[in-house]
Amino acid sequence: MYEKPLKAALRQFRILYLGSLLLLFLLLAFLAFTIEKERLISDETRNMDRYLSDLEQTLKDHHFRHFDELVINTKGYRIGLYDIDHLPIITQYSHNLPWSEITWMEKDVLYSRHDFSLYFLGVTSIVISKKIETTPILIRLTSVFVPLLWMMALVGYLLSRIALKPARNAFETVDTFIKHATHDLNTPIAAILSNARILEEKITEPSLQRFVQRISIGAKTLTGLYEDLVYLNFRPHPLIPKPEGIKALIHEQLSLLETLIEYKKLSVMTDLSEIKLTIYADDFHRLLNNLLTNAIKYNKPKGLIVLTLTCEYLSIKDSGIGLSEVEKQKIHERYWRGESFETGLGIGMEIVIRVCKTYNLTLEIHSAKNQGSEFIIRWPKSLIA
Amino acid sequence: MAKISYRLVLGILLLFNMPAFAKESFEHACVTCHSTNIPDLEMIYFRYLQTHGSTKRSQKAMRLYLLNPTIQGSTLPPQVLKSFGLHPPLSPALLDQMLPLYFERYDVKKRIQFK
Repeated sequence: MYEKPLKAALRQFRILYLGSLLLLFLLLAFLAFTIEKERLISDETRNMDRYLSDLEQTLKDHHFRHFDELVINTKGYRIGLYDIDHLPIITQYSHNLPWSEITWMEKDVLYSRHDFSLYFLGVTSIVISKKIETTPILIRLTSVFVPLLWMMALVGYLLSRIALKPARNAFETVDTFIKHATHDLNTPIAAILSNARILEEKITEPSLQRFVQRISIGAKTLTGLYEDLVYLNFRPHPLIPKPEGIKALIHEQLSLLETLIEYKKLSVMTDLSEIKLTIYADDFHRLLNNLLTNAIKYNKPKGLIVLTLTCEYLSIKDSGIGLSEVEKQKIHERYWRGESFETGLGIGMEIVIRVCKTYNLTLEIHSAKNQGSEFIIRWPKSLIA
Repeated sequence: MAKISYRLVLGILLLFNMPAFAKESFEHACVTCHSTNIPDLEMIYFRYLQTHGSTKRSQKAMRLYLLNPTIQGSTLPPQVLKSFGLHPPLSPALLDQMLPLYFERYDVKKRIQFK
């Protein structure tokens, strides 16, 4: 019973922790990558400057002496020599260059332009470029950050286990208690119910019959709670659904809740079609029991309950206290109860929602404060037997 | 004597305006003369390139100078001009034939390679 919320909390914690950790590492990695790349660019720019100084000297040397051929060693660079009109004297570039820039990056290629004040061999500008290899930086960063991320993730995982251990223990204690208590409740409830039934038959005096009726109602309410707890804690899995007549299940539930209905002097109107759904009967029993119990509990004395069953939906409408918009939102919360003076553990709607999820049923709630509520359960066509 | 033969050749070229003989005439008239007692043609070529920054601009500047040679229009230092004097003026038609041949002969683009 405790596992689901605890696991959900643990999952949320881990997602949040790992997510923020990943985000932080990505940010750090990005910063480190940017710094490393800038450093690489700076180093490469210095190398280019040195090369260009040497090249300028070579051009100067050849300018003042006769030569047949000048062979320029590119040393891995791409080079272009241009005249004052930016027309190529000799170039390895086929595309247009941005002459407004001195140093620029284009698709991971670093470009640098060097302008001469003296035009040796008619060369006024040299453009030089080299691809900046970022792969080694990425490999280096990955080799540092990935193991670190794994380590931090492991620490986070262990921390989450340690931090949530007391909560897990507390949940386990409560769960064990509920399981044991549920188990031990069965015999005394059965004894109270059977003896109340005998007393109802034996006692003829109306004033005493009233007391016995109250005992019977109390015992039946306890039975409902007991069955809800058993359903939540000991429901066998997996279950094989089979076609069940819903009309018969509703009548069965109404007869079980007859004492409660009579006690509150409620009127029940039914318009039930014959329909069979492929379900596990106990699931629908619990769903009906909880919705009907709510319709009784939260109804006004001498109120009305209208049950409508069609091939598409089941509607349970009451003339009770109704729900506000806030209460309609809260109804999906576990252990939430409408009015504090009514009995119950607040697990009824939890069971209803759980059954709805199991069979892809849709739960619609139409309600307004002091104007009653209508709970409509719709089922998919695939469920109709 | 050199000046007489130089003018004679150019006069003949001007007279007949024969492009087929232009290259040969350039070799005889320009190269021969400049290789003996006046500044080297290659040196002048690089000086123009260094001053004007492109072949196109250099050719334009040289044409202007040779049409109307003046000390201010020359790219050579005044000391050099003092020793050798100003270049005799040339006709536009002659320059149209000679200058492309001259710039083609010493074209720097043909002499630079990448390794």
